[in-house]
Amino acid sequence: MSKHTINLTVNGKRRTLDVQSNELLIDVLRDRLYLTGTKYGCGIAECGACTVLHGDRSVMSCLVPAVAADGWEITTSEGLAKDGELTPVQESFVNLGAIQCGFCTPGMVVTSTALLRENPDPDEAYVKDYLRGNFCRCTGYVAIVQAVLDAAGKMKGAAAT
Amino acid sequence: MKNFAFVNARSLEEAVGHLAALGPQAYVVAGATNVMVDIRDGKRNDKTLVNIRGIDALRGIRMEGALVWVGALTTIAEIGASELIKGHAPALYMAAQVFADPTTRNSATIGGNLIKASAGGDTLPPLMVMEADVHVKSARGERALPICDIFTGLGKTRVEPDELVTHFTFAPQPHTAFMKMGQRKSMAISVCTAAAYATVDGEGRVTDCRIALGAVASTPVRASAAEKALLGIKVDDEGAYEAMYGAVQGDINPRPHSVRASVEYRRQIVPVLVKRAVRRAALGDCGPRVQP
Repeated sequence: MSKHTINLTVNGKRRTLDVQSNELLIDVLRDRLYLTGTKYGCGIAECGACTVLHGDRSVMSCLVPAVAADGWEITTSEGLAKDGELTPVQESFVNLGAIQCGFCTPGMVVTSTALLRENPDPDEAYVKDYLRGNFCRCTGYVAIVQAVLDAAGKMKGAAAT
Repeated sequence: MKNFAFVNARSLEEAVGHLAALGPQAYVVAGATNVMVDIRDGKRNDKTLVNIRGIDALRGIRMEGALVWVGALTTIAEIGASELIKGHAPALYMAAQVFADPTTRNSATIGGNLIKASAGGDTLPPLMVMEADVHVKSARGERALPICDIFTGLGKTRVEPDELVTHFTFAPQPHTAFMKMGQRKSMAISVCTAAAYATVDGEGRVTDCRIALGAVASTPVRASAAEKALLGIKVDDEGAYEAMYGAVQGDINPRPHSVRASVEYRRQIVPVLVKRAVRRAALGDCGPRVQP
């Protein structure tokens, strides 16, 4: 075991933390910063519930030792909305009922955000393929895929005007 | 969480210094997609993680003279988005498209996929048909190992504990392809995979070929009997593959009682994947995204 001081930028805020070598990023987010939107599912990066953004790219926080995230800019599901205004992805998830129990939703929304930053004009097959690492056990995939496509349409419309 | 210590290596020299000093205590970590799972499973305890994730010199895809150079820290996402890989190593490009899921691909590295030495590592059969060299460095010096005889057993390679994989090199080869059969698409460890290099003459007859298979033995394997049986056949003649169907059985040794597939199933599926990989390879481009 070893002790380390790390700097993180989480949802736009700089944080300096003392962490143990074996503390995971998800534990720091949930238990030290109280950002419990990020869910702990399988713990072995199979389910996608713990997905956060590292810059613009998605990463599963259950497999990252916090000390390895030193210097990272992280966005959790709490950091997506600005001034209480939902993002197009969040809005589409709500409007299309792409949420059942809600446990997978933060990871779904974060991964979908990364998807649309990578490809603003995806088709259905692309969305399904991209979300293949995010499990929903309420079988809500149809609405989730529709929500991502709906958000893409809205964002394209907004960019065109 | 299990116990482990952590050191951050900011340069290649620092990294090999840590490996030399720590000996078997060291456990190299980059994307952490395998390492943390193994720690959680209790397969590795009380190690010191040597973090190499920040060493930019080990990252990237470029031409070095006539060879393609791929850094060990290059992520699967970067490989799957690379036009250079798409043109010069379609098999590797295709493997990156079906590797785990997009989020895992953002972290998982090609060097990690090699060192994990899983029989089903998706990038390994492509690297084998490319006959890639694996370059390693230690405090003792540098050397290059041919990938086709680097695997010594499940999870084991000829890379010594004090050596760090730095990069891969291989000659460009557009006539390669990769096929994967999994139980489902997402996060599925392969039931079996096949990579092929195949060139054909004006009549569509195979003039040269190399086949490598994943998840059909304790390590990824070159299928030399299948390679011999494929020479000279017409790639679009369905019946011509019959000899290979028999020959490839001698190249593989599927594990009995596997949770993913029976021996009989794998023996049926492997030749079909080989045939499809050969046909795709002979075409000389990735085509659209393909799944068997």
